Amino acid sequence: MLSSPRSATDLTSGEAARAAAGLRLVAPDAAGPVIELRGLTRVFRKPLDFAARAANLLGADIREEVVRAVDGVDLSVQPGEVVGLAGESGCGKSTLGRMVAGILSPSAGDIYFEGRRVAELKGQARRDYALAVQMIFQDPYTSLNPRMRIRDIVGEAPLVHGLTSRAELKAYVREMLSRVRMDPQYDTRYPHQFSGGQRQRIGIARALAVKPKFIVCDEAVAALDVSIQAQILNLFMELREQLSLTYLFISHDLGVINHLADRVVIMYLGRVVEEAETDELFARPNHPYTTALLDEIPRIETRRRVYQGIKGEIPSPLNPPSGCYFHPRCPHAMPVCREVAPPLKTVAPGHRSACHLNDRPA
Amino acid sequence: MTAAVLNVEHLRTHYFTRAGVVKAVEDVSFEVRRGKVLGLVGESGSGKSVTGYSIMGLVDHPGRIVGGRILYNGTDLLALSEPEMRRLRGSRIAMIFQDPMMTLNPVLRIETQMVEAVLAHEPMSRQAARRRARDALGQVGIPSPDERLQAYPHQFSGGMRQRVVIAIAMLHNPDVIIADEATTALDVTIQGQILSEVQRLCQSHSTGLIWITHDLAVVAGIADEICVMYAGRVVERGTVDDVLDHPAHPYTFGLIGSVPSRNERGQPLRQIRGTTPSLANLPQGCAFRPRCFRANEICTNEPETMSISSRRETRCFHPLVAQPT
Amino acid sequence: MTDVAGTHATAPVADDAKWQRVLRSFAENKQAVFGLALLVVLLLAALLAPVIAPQNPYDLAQISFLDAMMRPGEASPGGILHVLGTDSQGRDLLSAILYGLRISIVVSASATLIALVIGLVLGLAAGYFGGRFDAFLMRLVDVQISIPGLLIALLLLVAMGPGVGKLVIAMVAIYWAYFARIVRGVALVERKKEYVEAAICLALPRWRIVLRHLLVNCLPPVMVVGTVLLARAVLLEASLSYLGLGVPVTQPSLGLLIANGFGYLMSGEYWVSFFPGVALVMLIFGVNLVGDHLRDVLNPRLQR
Repeated sequence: MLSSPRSATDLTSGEAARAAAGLRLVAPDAAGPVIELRGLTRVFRKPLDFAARAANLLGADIREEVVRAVDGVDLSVQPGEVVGLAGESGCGKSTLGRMVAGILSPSAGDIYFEGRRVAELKGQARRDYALAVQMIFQDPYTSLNPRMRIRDIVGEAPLVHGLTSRAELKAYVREMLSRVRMDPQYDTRYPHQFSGGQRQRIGIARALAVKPKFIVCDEAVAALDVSIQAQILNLFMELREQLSLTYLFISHDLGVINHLADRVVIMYLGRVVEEAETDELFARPNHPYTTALLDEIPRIETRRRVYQGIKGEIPSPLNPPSGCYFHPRCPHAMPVCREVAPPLKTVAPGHRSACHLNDRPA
Repeated sequence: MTAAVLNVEHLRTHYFTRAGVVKAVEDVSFEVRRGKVLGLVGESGSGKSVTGYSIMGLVDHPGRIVGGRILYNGTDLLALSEPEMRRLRGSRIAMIFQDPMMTLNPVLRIETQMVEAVLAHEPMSRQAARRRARDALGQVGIPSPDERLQAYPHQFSGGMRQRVVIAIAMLHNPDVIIADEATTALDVTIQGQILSEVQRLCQSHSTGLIWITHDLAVVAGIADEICVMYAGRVVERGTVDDVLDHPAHPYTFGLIGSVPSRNERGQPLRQIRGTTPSLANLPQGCAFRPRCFRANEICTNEPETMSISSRRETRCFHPLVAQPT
Repeated sequence: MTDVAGTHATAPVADDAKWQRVLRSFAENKQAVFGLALLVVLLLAALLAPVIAPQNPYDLAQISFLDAMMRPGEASPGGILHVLGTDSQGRDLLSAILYGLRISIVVSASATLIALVIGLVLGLAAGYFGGRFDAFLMRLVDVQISIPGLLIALLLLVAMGPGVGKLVIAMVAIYWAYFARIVRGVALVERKKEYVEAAICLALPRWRIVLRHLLVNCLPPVMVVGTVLLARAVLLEASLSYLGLGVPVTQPSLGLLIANGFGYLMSGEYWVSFFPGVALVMLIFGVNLVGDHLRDVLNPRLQR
């Protein structure tokens, strides 16, 4: 990896702000974004089975089921940044995370890792990318292989990739376990001998064991009890400081996102509807969907509130509405919203939103 | 002050397992008043759900209610025979589960299920029962209820299914509804809709509601009174404002601190150390002792429930001095 | 705010508690223990046949037609006490059953085991890689399973001719499909689990993911199906031998022994068929009891 010396003038405004706020400086060897997504798209098709094809021959009109789970997403994540990705079920946030982590391949569009197009990476470079981007999963009960000891769960990948030797493996694994604040002497146990929170720590240790730069957290605290959730969130923040990690933090819980993220991206049915620095987004939400989401978050400070609820259901991704996907539920929908999907436009510095309301003359 | 419709007094529900006696609910007391919402808050294994099942008389083997009373309008439910209990269950006291499919039968139309639910407790013509079912669906905000009655459960979205379940629970205008994590599996915007329906219905029918959840923020928005449970016991009870603004029990204090809130962004959350204990292997004395920052030797004794002020109790030797958090 | 101590607070659970639990719950079930004991006794008897059998039924020098059709409990002039009588060729029936048991067990167990390995490999590949190979394999399995096993075995044995090896081949040809289908189903479920996604994310080689991660998690249901199929294999082997298409006449398995005595049943000389039949029933019963309980123990839905 080439390292280029950086001067203070190289810092973007966001980085400078963080640097000024006493936060850790970005990794020295990366000049641009760690991860950049351009027009990233993932389409899931359920091809017709034999029976359906036979029925079609007889005149039935059964269509292939096509879901655009992620639809043309542009996003860049700067080194050291925590980007929160929020949205409700079916918005494609998990699919997006899995593409970034290399578990799913994109149908269209590109992922750039430290400025290089991932699709073109081969051999060693490809492996370096794969290891540099790791994922923490939602379910601590299915994310660990139940038939492997902790030692093997954490130690398998570093051994396979030559990050440690067989002789040093035990110490290596124990170091990883200590890093996530687990007792290293538990390394010979099996996953079922641990609680949910401890398993999540093991999952984090497994990811850290291959020395990643970028971590995708997919609802990583959603399955945990509140008190355990706080422990894991604190651990994430600690590790970020210690290891200069960059996070893509996917969550349906805006409270968690608000607490952790520097920047927030809101998705709805596969598209990004709004993106801004966290304070900006929570203080001045632009998109009506974001506004509705923020209104609906239960807060511990709000007592005996009267819930209003935004109208309507989340549409099926199999059959999304025309134009702006949110228009059937939007209180401000205009005729144009039914026709044209609004593009993401900058509404304030670093704040983008996809809503036709911004085009109205002020 | 409205009268209590349900009084739970020193309820004890134990599970007799091979590994030993699991005291899932131990000495739990609270009351539910008409038109009011009681939030029953706790993490997994706190006994909050088992408390709900105990009131409904739905505790399965190897569990058994071994002590206490559950007074519904003055009658002890634990003294009732199974047929008597069955008459109350679903008509006077109803329960809503996290998974709507606990209530709904996947192979029957909604109409069939709702009409049966009506007829089980009130003799009337099928026509009248159908009308009642349709009106109930309309009440919980399901569009075109006549058509939707013909549908099967899988044809509804998760949120709509939960509405159907609420409609079934409300069919007989019950005095008490027990909702066990009823919105936990739903998206935020859908959760808001359901909470608003439940709130409206319970107020207009003056139904007492027990809202069981792990989510303090949801409880903050909906409840009038809160019971915080830990390891089978109520560790703190009081009005929402008292408990959330001036928690007395260190566990409640820690739990509130664990909720990410915008005031302290980027700062470490005030976490509770350690993990939830196994009910089969509780520490001696106060079950929260190993995780508590105020614990000392006296905590190896069992703390008794003590009253702080009227309608305000805690079970702790070192309650926190009430001061704003 | 760090708290190493806190997260370490959970009381340790014994290592390998899962297998201990399986064993314990096995021990608590009387039927399972009985089944297991039955199997162990039969296996030992088969294993030790040369030691405990009064006679070697394969050694023609030891067999005399003069001893034919002796009743149970009679002693031959040569001094051997025929506890279970003798058959039409003068073989001591107890000895023939012990040796027959050996053949029955070896043939059906090896056939089941080979079928298991083949089914496991094909099923895993189909489940993990999917696509055309999966579609082709599953249609083949569908066709294979819809034809009665006995018919397939008959056709194959008629084409190949009899013999122990060929009998095993014919049985493998039937049973691989059942294993392939169950393994593929389980592999499809397991493949979607997050631990497999994690393995992909860690850039582990494919073969490693399939063997070290998928395979071990597919085994429990395979073991259950294995016992069911083992019992069926014992029965199929007996049926084929009964029809004369299995083992050679000189080395009779239980099925052939039953067939040999069939002609005498009507004349009141029941023992020639009856005792091998009892041995066969005991063997299948034992396998089924163990298999039943194994299914209960390994069923994840019944755990916890």
